[in-house]
Parts: sequence; C-alpha cells; structure tokens
Amino acid sequence: MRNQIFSTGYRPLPPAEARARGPWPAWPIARTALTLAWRRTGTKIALMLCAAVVFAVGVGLVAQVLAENAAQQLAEGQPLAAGMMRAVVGSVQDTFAIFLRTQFFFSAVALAVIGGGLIADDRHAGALELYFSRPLTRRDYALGKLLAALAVPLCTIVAPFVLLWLMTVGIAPPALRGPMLGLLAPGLGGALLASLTLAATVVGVSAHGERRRTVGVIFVVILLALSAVGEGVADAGFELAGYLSPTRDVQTVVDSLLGVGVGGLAAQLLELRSGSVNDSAWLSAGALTLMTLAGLGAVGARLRQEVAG
Amino acid sequence: MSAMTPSTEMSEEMSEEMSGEVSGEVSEETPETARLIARGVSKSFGPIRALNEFDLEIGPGVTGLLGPNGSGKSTLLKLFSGQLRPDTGTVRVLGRDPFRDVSVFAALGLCPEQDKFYEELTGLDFVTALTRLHGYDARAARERAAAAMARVGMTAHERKPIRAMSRGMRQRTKIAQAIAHDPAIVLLDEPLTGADPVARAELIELIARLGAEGRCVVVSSHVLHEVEAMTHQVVLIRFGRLRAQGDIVRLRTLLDDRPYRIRVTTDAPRPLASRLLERLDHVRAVSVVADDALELTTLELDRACFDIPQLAGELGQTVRGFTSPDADLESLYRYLIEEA
Repeated sequence: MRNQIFSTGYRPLPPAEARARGPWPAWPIARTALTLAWRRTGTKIALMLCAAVVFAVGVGLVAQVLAENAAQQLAEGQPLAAGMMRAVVGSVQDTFAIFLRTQFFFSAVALAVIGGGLIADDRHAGALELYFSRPLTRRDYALGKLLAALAVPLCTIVAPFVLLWLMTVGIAPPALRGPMLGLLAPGLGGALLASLTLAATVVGVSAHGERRRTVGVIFVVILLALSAVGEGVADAGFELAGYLSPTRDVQTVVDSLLGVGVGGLAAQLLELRSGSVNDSAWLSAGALTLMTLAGLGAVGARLRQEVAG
Repeated sequence: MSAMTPSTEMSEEMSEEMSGEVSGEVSEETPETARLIARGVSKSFGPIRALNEFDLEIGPGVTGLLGPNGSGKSTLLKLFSGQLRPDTGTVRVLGRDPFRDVSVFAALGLCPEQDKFYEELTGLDFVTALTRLHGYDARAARERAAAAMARVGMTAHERKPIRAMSRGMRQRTKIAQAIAHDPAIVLLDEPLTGADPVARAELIELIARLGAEGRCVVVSSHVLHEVEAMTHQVVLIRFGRLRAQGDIVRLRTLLDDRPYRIRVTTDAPRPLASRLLERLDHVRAVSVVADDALELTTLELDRACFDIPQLAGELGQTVRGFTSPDADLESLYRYLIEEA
C-alpha cells in the first residue's frame, strides 16, 4: 500500500464506525430528559401524588384480601353475611381495574408536568441544533423522547400494578391465589396500552409547543375534553362517541382483559367506576392505538419540519 | 482557491500524526483538502433568499465567516451542520452528504449562537450528556467532557448549574461540548459573545490552536479584530452571496481601486513628501498631515515598506512611525461589505 499525505494537516475520519453511532442512541437522550425532569420540584410532587394512589389501592387490596379471607370462613356458617361482605368490598379484579383507570388520570397529570417540556424545551431553547449536529436520526431523537415519556407511566402504572399484584398474591389465601395468577398478563397488557397512549400523546403535543407549562395544560385539557365529550355524547345515546373518550376506552379494555363487571358496592358508592363502558374492547383498543399513532405522527411531522437531516 | 490552503504553521510532524499515512509527499491543495463544500447552494425562507448560488470550499485551519446581520452566515453553518437542507445545490461534509449519512456528524462539533440550554444541569453534566450521543459510554463521555471543560478553562466551574453561569462561562461550556468528541470540523457561531477580555484572549488562543491541530474550524463573528487574531483566512458574505474568500492580506492587495493609506512619522515630513512623489512611481498622493507626519497613498504596500525608509535615510531622516490604517480586516470588510 502506498502511503501518502493528502494535504498538510489532513486528518481522515476515524474509521471506527462503532464510535460514530452508539449502540442505542435513544437511551442517552431519554436519560438526559429524565435527569432534567427529576431536578424539578413539580416532578417530585406529581410522582408523590401517583404514589399516594398506589398506597391507597394497596391498602384497599389488603382490606379486600382480609375481607375475602373472612368471607370464606363465614361462608359455611353464615353464607348471607359472607355474600354481603363480598358485595360491599367487591373483587380484587375490580380494584385492579379501578387502579388502572384512576392511575391513568394521575399519570396523565404527572406526564403533563414531567413530559410537557420533552421536545418543547428543546424547541424553545434551540437545543435541536445540538442534537441534530450529532450522529442522530430524527427517529433516534423521537424514540429517546418517547422512552423518557414512557418511563413515567411505567413507574406510575405498570410497575405499581406488578407490585400490587405480587403483594396481593403473596397475602391472598390459597383459594383466591389461583384466580389472581391469571390477572397479571391481561392487567399488564392494559397497563402497557394505557402507558403507551399517554406517552405518545404527550410527546406529540410537546413537539408542537414551545412552553413546558402550556404543553402540559393543553395535554390535560385534550384528555379531559375528549373524555367529557365522548362520555357525554355516548350517554346521550350516540354510543360510538364513547370511543372518543380515552378514559372510557382504557376502562373498556381493562375491564375486558380482567373480566370484571361494575365493581363492588363500595366502589360504586365512592364513584370509583363510571359504570359505563364501550361495547367493543377491540374498538376501544383500536381507538387508543389510533391516539398513540396520532401522537407519534405529530412528532414525526414536526421534526420533519424543523430538522432537515 | 489559494486562500484556503492549510495552515503553514503546522509542523511536518503534526501533519504526519494527523494523517496517519506518510510518504513525505505533500500535495498542493486539491478537492480532497476541502472538508466543507457548498456548490450552487441556494436557500430561501419564504420570500427571503438567505443564500444565493453559493459556492464555497473550506479546508483545514481556522476560517472566519464574516458578514452583516442577515447576510447568511448562520444559514451557511446550519447547512453544514445538517439543520437545513438547501433548496438547490449540494452540501458535502468530509465528502459525504450530511442529509443521507448522519454518521458524518461524528466528526463535527457545533457551537450554536444561543446559550439557554438545560439550565438545571451542571456544565459538566451538560457536556457529558451531549458527548454520550456520540456513542461513548458514561465513563468515557464524562472523562472527555472533563477534559474539554479543562481545555476551555472551566474546570473550576464545571459543577456549577448552567443557570448560575455568566454568559462567558456559557460560551466556554458550549465550546467544550463542541470539541469534547474530538471532531475534525468545528463550527462556532459567535463564540466570543459575552466573554470577558481575559476569556476572549483565552478562547482566541484555543480556537487558533484547534486550527493549528489540523481541524477545520469555521468561526462566524462580527468582531473583526478578534477574527483577525485567530486567522487570516476569511469568507465574506453579503446578501447571501459570496463576496470574497481567502487570505486577508492577499484580498486587500486585489482591491486596485482602494490604494493603501500609509502614515509616516518623521522629523521633517515636507522634504520627504516631495522626494516620495519624485522618486516612487507607485505613490499616488502625499499630504503633510502634521508637523511630524505625512500620509501617502500607494497601490503597493510591500514596495512602500521597503522604499520609504530608504528614501528617508537618503535625506538623513529617521522614520519614527509607519502605519497603514487600512491594511487590516476592518478596512477589507468596510470596502467589500459596507461600502459596496
């Protein structure tokens, strides 16, 4: 091979392509976004709120398991009392369904606080230049931000669901443990779908805003407005409108997956369940998927507009 | 493009080290030396044409990118850094199309103009986070970030949150993130803004050193004397068109319609003035501007530098001062940009 200097000071590009692009460039982006979010007081408050819900549901589940235990002991001598006790406290499945629906709301608030600035802050500060003058594609960036957003509902919905399930299985009497084991997979499915919907939507809204707080407020308003309009119109007789409501869709899917009904008497008295769900869980899942895709599409469209690379 | 030749100050050893392949055969400037190329590039924003049929090749060393506000400097940097796609023409970074191959940005560092990034992070965390995007693991990225912060003189303040940093510190942190991954190309948009005089001097030295290391450093700035302190290679842009490019001194000599003004301080300017007009054909005009000074205009600065002291010597005089107030970058800029 002939050695040759092409020009004074010429330094060829390092051939190590491995360094040119990291194995998973989305991760550092997500990590930075989460680090930034964690340093804000609002994040901690929002997460504490979600933790309070988990704690309350945990207490409820313990009470339910104890009540179920007591009901089983009463069942032989006093079947009526046992039946009443079960009717009041409801089933564990109901509580998990209530948890997923309620936490969907609280996670949305947490995401509004934490995820509102994910892309909006970068747009506002002009930080997109810093990202896209590096070996990153738009997909890497969007995936990184989506991962950061997804981390919130994973921590507030999915992980608590698994922990609550483990706790319940751990303390449940043998007769209850059997049905409980079958709850994990469908519950996780519902939790993941709800998480993905929330994360994609907040990133989509953030991509079109420039102020973290404004984005957060718009995100919550969109969810509330869709829920209110969907449920209102559906209750008025036009059932199809129910699929517009993300909360109703989540409840429909979760109820279907967990195989629950309207819930116990206590849950109904506390209005923890709306009681109305859509006719088809498949269509509800489709509506949530559509919402997720809309969020991702919004990110893609904005990044295509902002970044040429 | 003779003005874009690589730095002649670079030692041969350094060249060998940078090249990695050595034969002792150094070629003249060829297209291979150009690391940034724009050919026939136009870019419009609505009705405003920011760049118009722009052709440019930039090689190793420091190059100053100069022009008034809105002339297209930042647009050009954004084209090279992949932020904007040209409407027409082609852009090449290290011979590659940045819009098809983002891996070319592994060799590019950008210091953008704005400085309000991630206020909650410390300077070191900020640089580390961005360095990780180049594929370094957490430890390697942190080490590189710390080294880059040290290089820009920010070690003492590296753990300070960005929101608590002065403008000058932010500038230095931005430069640190641009060089932490050891890029071959460094694009600096107004890198000295807000820096105090000491920091400016240090940054100028750093930028000049980056160029001397063989990197292609493009500095967009309004502060002409600071650009002149970094480099003699400039690109002048006006209304989105390339107005001039090359070495400041050579460009100045090309302005035939703008003779050099030279101010000579001597004890008896009148006899010297008449002798100058009589003997030097390149001297266009002479005027005595003070009891001890005369001013002349000439097209040939080099000859004047040689001839005037000699003539003064023949008259038994001593030249106490010899200045040319319009042979610098500021004059070049005024003639080519402001008075054009």
